[in-house]
Amino acid sequence: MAGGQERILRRRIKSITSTQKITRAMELIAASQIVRAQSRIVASRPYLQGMTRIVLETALGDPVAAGRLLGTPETISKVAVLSVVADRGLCGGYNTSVFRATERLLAADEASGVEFRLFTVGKKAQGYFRFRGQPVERSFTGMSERPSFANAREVAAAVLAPFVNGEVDQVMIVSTRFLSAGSQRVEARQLLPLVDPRDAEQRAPHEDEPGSWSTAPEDGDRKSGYTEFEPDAAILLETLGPRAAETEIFAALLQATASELTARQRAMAAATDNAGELIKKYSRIMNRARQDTITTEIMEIVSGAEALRAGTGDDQGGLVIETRV
Amino acid sequence: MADDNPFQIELVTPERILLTGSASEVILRTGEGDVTFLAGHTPLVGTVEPGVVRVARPEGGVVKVAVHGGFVQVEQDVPAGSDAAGEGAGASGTRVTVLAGVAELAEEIDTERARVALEGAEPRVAELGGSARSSGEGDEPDAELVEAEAALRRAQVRLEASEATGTAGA
Repeated sequence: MAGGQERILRRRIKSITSTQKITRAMELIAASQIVRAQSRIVASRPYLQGMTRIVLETALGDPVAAGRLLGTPETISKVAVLSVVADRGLCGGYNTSVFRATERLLAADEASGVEFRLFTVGKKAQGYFRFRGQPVERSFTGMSERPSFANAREVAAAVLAPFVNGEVDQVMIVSTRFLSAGSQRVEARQLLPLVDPRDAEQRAPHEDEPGSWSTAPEDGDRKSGYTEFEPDAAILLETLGPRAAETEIFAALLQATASELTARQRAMAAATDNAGELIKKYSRIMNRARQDTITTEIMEIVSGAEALRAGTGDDQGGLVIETRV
Repeated sequence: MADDNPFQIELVTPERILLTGSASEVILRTGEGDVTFLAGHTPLVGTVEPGVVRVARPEGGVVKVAVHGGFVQVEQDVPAGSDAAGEGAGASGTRVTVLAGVAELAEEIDTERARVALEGAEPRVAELGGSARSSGEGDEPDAELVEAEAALRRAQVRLEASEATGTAGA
């Protein structure tokens, strides 16, 4: 019986060892991809900043036309919500925290009587919202690993159309911001109308937050308003708004990818450590079990020998135990 | 030809900075027609139509970039080296920024591929365009046709940019 236990333990240790190999490999892969994901965020920043500058400039050129496109709408009766998660799991609480933030947003909307339309990025979102019975207008998959600008365009086309057509008053995005390698934060923020870069600075005092509107160059007051517009600022703003939002979506996708990889690396490092602990623990139990077996066997042999000797009647009355095993 | 006064140029796509440094002249097509930017140009914001953007370097030579739509901004009094561009923004303080969702340097364009794409797109546009006209629903823009026309234009712009490089060696 004891031998059986030993065999079971040995099998379990073997299985944990191979799991550990997998988790370690995943950890290393994620770690190597983080670097690339981070450099893509950095590479996308000049475009985002240029876009911010142009939007600001144009908005100053025609403040009236900018009204619908910048700032927070006063009355909101319909919103579009874009929730960005991963295609794959095994990344700790990454997906869950985005889902929780999305649900919170939707619940708040529901409570205040705002109609919402949900869009999602990531395979995990499909399953989650289907299970919850939450209808999703459109979901995108296959881009969480390495989002391209074309992907962002595709998402933007679907999500922004209702705003452009005037069907919704606001477009929100729920995604994970990659603040640094050590800190990521799930955030729900307004995508359209564009957050006015001028008051974004007060609201988000994160100086070096990568790729956000708040990194707008501080040349807001330098403009003296004699800028030419080709075509007119009002017409320009119409095309500019969706383009700027599309850039924001791209930045959000890139940051989500970096965050996902970081979360995965962390989760897999923890899993690898845990597997090591388990292996240690089970080896200890297994060794004790083996020793127990040996001890029991010795005892059996000794008592067997003892019994045999007692049986021959050659009793010397003492407790001399002599064993040769 | 080109003015001697160099200014700062930046051609940026979401994926990377395609071109940066100084230029003596930038020619591109905005929503209202072709424009040549020289140092000291009035501040401007405009759209960039799909086409070839020509950047004349102060040291001579022209860089051609195929741009598939975007925006351009001209700024004045930009402190020299305020961007990564750094090197030789010139004394003019002018900065021209071109933002393009998709753009390629002429020398990076696969001419063969663009030609194949062009050959594929042309009959498609003709076919879709023809059927749309015959069915008499000209008002409704057909998504497929729009897509095919965009593909055709992309191929044309690419070819224009890359072929121009071949001949503009002198």
